[in-house]
Amino acid sequence: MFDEKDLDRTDALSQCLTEIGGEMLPPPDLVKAAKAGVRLHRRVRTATHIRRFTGAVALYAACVALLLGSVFVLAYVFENVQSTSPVSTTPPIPPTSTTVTTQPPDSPPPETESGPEYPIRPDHFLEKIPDDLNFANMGLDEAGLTVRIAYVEGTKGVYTKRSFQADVVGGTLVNNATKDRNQLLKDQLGLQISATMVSDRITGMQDELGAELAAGNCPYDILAGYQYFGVGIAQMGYMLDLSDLSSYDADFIDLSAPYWANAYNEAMSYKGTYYWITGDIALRYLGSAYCTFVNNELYDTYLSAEYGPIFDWVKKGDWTMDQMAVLAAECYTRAQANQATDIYGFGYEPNDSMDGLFFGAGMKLTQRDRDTKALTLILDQTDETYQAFTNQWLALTGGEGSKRYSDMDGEAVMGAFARGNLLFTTNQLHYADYYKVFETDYSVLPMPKLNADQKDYLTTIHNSCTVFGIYAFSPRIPQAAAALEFLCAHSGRSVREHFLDSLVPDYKDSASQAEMIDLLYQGVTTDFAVVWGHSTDAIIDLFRDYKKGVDNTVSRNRKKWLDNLDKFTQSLDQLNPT
Amino acid sequence: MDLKQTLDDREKIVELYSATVWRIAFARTRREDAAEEVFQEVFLRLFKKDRTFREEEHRKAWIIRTTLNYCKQYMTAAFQSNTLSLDEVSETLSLTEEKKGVLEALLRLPAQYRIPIQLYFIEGFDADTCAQILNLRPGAFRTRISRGKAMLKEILKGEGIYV
Repeated sequence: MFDEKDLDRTDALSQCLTEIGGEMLPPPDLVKAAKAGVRLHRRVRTATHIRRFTGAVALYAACVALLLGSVFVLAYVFENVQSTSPVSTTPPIPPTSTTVTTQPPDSPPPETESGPEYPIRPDHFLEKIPDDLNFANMGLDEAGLTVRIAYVEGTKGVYTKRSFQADVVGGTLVNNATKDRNQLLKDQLGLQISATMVSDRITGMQDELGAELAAGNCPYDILAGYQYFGVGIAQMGYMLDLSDLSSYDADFIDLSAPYWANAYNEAMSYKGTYYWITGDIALRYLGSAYCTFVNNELYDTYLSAEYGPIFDWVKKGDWTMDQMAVLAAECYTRAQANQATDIYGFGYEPNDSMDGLFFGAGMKLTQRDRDTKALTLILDQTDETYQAFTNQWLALTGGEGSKRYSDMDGEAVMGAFARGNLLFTTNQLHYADYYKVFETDYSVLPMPKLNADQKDYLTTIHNSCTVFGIYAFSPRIPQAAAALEFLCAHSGRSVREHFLDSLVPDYKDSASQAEMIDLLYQGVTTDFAVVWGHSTDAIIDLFRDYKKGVDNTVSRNRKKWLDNLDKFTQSLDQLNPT
Repeated sequence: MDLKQTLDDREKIVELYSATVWRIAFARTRREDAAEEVFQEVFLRLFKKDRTFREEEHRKAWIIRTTLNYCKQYMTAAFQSNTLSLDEVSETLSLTEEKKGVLEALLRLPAQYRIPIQLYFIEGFDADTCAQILNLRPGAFRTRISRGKAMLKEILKGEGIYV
């Protein structure tokens, strides 16, 4: 346990350390050489010779590869320079954008000192951006150094805008971290971003930009769309595959890095092609994760003495739908006995929040062939998993301890939880903004598992998630790719932490609460049919219609969904015939 | 305002940060020749490009982070795995016996405790800055200081050195 006096610098040991520091000085000739900007070779050892020799060999090999690569690129450009018509049904040709000569990635590997306290894999950071990459040194003008982002903003909140822009004057820690991050982008890569809201409607991206995208003259480099209504733009064939931008001299995006939503992006991809990605750069990704809210006051009053700390259930892997049902019923019964008749164990609305429960229980709508990556819809009504989910769902919602709220926006259930009338509710993390206003005493847990056999805690992101794609005819593809990677990586280190701290009580002070949040984001996933649902006719309604019974919903829609998914995947196949 | 590096500034920058870079490199690698390598790489890299930093704090953070990264790179190379004994390390400095003992004890600590203690007590950074440099939450940084200091005292007791 930490004791404040451990930070005291006046005790004997600390002073001794300080004095040692004062005597540990670099050799004067080394300092002199550093000032002159030259290397001192007086202590070269065998190992250094070996390293320099292998380094020289590697450099030589890199030069040869670069030379050969340049010949191929020139040949390719020469062959395609006349093919400029953007309105084409074939996949776009790489534009001859500003060439960025990337140097060998000789940057030092990131430090791994941070240990397990940092949420996830701290050693994996900007591995594909060379340390020396700075577009400002490439003779580009201001336009060439400005990455233009188009985004849409829905009616609820301004999370998309806040993902890019900070207010000029002060503000929250999130705001300041965003500002610092953008400044760092300028300092290190020489780039700045210009974000434009092209529509205040969530469906507006295609309406506003569709014609320009198709004509090849869209004035934006990055599209930041509302996932559900935006991803369909990829069918037009003008969004790049972000998993491989090497032919554009823009291989900067590292999709395996922890700041990208790895499983979510993989589920959103089609046969290995990543038209859209999201991650810590998007506040909507962070804030729209489905989670469980628990009212600490109710839990402490009615349950903690018998059931122990709620976090322990999660840590043991026992946070399941049936356990949630047991606790909800128990809380309700005890509250009733205590004359607290307006207290319920679980409050829900059978709309958006169902997404979280469904994915939390590991449900899937499609599966991919391991080799071909082809998708098949799995909607077998007799499937054991569906039946198990139905049973758990009925157990959770069927008892007196649960209360159903019927409004579609979820504000009634949100209000009930905020006022302290509900032990549990499940919804998007950013609902916490509302709970903070009411000073509700709450904690955040992952979504419950289907049962104890489920390996990991899982969840998904609401379909308002901001997803990012790069326009194939952008003249700044390398800049756009580098900026996306850089912003996402640094968001993961700074903005994310402040943002979560603003929504999750004790996030920075309680290791247990932080662990809950780590578990939550490690389990983020989705399903291809859901994420592209607008293009496959609202398959997402399957679980939002759960109140009517899954069998009924599936039987009514099965043929329509199968046909639509088939048609849709065929349209994507035409973009990548191979 | 951006801070650009001019030739005149180089001397000042080296004056300002050379001791810090040296100490971190030495404590992290526990080898004098490795510390020299890292020391040179950091400053050469700093001056190779016309780097601009928004504030002096950013430059400082860059220097420390790069030093730590180079140490890691240096130490992970397979052929660098042979390290000097701790006695050899402290012999390279002319310190009193007590200070040698403390330094050896410090160098014996696992890196996850050694570096936080180095940055906080020897370099004199505040706790929040240290946490930021090491990508730790402030609470985690404080815990490491606490544990590291306790381990340091334990080692010193075992060696019969009481400070």
